[in-house]
Amino acid sequence: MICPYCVREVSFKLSRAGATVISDEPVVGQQQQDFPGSAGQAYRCSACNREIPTMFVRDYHRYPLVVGSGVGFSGHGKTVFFASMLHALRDHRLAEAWPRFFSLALDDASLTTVVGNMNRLQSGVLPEATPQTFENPTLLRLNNLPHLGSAVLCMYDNGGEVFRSGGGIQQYAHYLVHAHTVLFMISIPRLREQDDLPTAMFSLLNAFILGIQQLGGDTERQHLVIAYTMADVMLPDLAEWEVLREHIKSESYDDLADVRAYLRKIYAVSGQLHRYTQVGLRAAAFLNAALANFASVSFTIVSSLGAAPQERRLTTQIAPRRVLDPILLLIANSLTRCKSCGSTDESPPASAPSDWKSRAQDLLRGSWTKVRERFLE
Amino acid sequence: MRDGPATEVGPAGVIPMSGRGVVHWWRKLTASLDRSLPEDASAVPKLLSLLRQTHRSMALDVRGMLLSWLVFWGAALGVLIGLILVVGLANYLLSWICLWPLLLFAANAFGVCIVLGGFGGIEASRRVSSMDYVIYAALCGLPWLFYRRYDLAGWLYGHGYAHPTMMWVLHMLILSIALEAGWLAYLAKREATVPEIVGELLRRLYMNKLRALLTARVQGLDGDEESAPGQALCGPCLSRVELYTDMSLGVRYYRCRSCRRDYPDGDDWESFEEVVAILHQKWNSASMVKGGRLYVNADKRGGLFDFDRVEIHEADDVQVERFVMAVSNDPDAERRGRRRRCTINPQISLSQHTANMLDAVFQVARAQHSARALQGEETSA
Repeated sequence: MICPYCVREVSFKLSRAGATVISDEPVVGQQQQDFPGSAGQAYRCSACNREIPTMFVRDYHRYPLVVGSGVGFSGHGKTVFFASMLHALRDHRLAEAWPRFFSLALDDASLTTVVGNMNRLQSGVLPEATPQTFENPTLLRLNNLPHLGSAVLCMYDNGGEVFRSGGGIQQYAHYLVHAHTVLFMISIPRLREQDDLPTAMFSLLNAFILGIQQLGGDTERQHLVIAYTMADVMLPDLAEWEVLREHIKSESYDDLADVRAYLRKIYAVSGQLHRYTQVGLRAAAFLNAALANFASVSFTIVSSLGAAPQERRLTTQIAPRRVLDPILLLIANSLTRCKSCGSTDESPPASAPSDWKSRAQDLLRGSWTKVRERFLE
Repeated sequence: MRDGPATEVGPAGVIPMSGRGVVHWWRKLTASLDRSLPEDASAVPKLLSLLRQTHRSMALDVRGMLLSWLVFWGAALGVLIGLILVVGLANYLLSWICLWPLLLFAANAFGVCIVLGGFGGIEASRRVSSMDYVIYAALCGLPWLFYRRYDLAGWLYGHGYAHPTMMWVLHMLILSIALEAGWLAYLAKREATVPEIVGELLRRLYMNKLRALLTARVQGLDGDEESAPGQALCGPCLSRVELYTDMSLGVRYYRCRSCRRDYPDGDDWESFEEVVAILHQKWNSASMVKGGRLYVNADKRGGLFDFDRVEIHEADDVQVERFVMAVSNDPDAERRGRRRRCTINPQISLSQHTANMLDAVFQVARAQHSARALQGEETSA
């Protein structure tokens, strides 16, 4: 099992605050919490000793862990995207489109993050920029995603400075080694303002690959999802790309009802964005490097707020567009369940080779953990 | 109060198999037991004294103890033999499946089938499928199994075998004799004297039972008292008081499932028809009793407790999610397993997202009554 806080393969201990006094008399009014299931007990990581939510440990094998993290430069909208995505996950239109779906925070800190972000966006204030440190993840259980099942989304948010070099990734974003799918967040308008666009995109990719290699990981086993942020600002650039314009303009949640069809649509848009990257952005080197180094490459385009903010404040009501696309791709790639959708040339479905041996090991270890718990009870 | 021993969960909780590893493991185990032991060195005489007092007043069912011991080891042996047979057969089949393409089967002059080629492989296959190699545990990674990579002549490279180590068998034997057979109780009844070194060993091995006995004031109960607790609740933690049976000691006693507080007199618990968790932002009391039901303010209460149903009178989405999160994070497997009813006041507006969440965790019903149901005579629970 992977600890979400120290991001290491560890075991979890069920700590017991046991009574240490023994006397001839019965203990009256004194709580002895010395057995599984008593109040005040908690699972702790054997490495970092942090308290781990019971749901996370108990259902580790039932709810696959999906590491969600945005990789991108500062000011490209990672934090705002995650805030907007959390907002969208609790939108009543989504709950109506997916009748049994809900997201549940696994611990108090995660719930505070979710509620804080939602309140901030609703009142028109953008979240603060993230510092260059390793922040605790937001743990969210996504239940009953149609066609995809359920998963635990473990979201890390880092400052963009981290992703400027492989060393930064090694120091602050080591969790990315465990990600089946990596989410690149690139703001084309921001890059056009600051740097040579294709070079900047390539340097981000290069730093990421270096960082993962230094951590002993292998990007060829990871899927890459590239999300172009600030789509509302990009609209003038997309004059010749009608499909993309239509996709971005639509605010409706109706097409999400059929997730399989919607994923096909996302993959079709991904194909268009692939061509846009090649022709419109002239980032062929970036594309070639991505295709050579990752198991699959997909594209999405999002507008986290619906309109550009002014001085970190929204001038209109938040109206996120397509913020669920990257998360759907992330989960579909990570769970490798989406077998039948989007298998056209322009939309390569991302399916990792099924590692039957590790699955069997996980299954046996899960059973063994249960037997052991019963025995100890 | 120091922390008690911790339970390792997961693949890292293994018993190491090397000599130094075993010594280290044993030291760790004894150190953790030491932490949970009292400073008072007279724990063993106290235990024996208490056991004598307890067992004098009851019939000690030695046959029951022996039976449980025999059944346990008989079943374990049966499972082991079954496993040996199944795995041996699978090994044999696997070997032949691997060999099949390498060999040539032909008839000799007498019409008898002969096998040509790969004789080294056949030798190896016989070794792999031998009954000595008990369990194919390459995938399991079970801690007590000895596992060796077995480098054969190329085509079976990487397969291995495993079997229980002698250290594990001895360890389990000692533990099970000490913990399952209940022979300490038998010794106590006979007023046997226990040498100090044996006492020390027993003190370590029998720690759980000792603690239970000394803190529980174990009491023999008549059969018709078994169903007495019903909805009996432990006062401090609001968890159910249940009847426990210790087969090895032949005793039954009432105990709170959550805090393990004992109820030796059998009637000093609090009993209610139903326990209802209430979510109500404007309700200031911690709890109240009305019509034989205990209503507990879930927000004020803080920790979890045994409730039969939930009533959401006045709460927002965040408050409901916080409650659902706490219920889902409950480490108590028994409490978690129950699917409880939930009644929602139709006058409050919860989001569809929260409704989906409640539907998944509880059996939800929309009620007609409002928060006024709580207004009544409030009594401290």
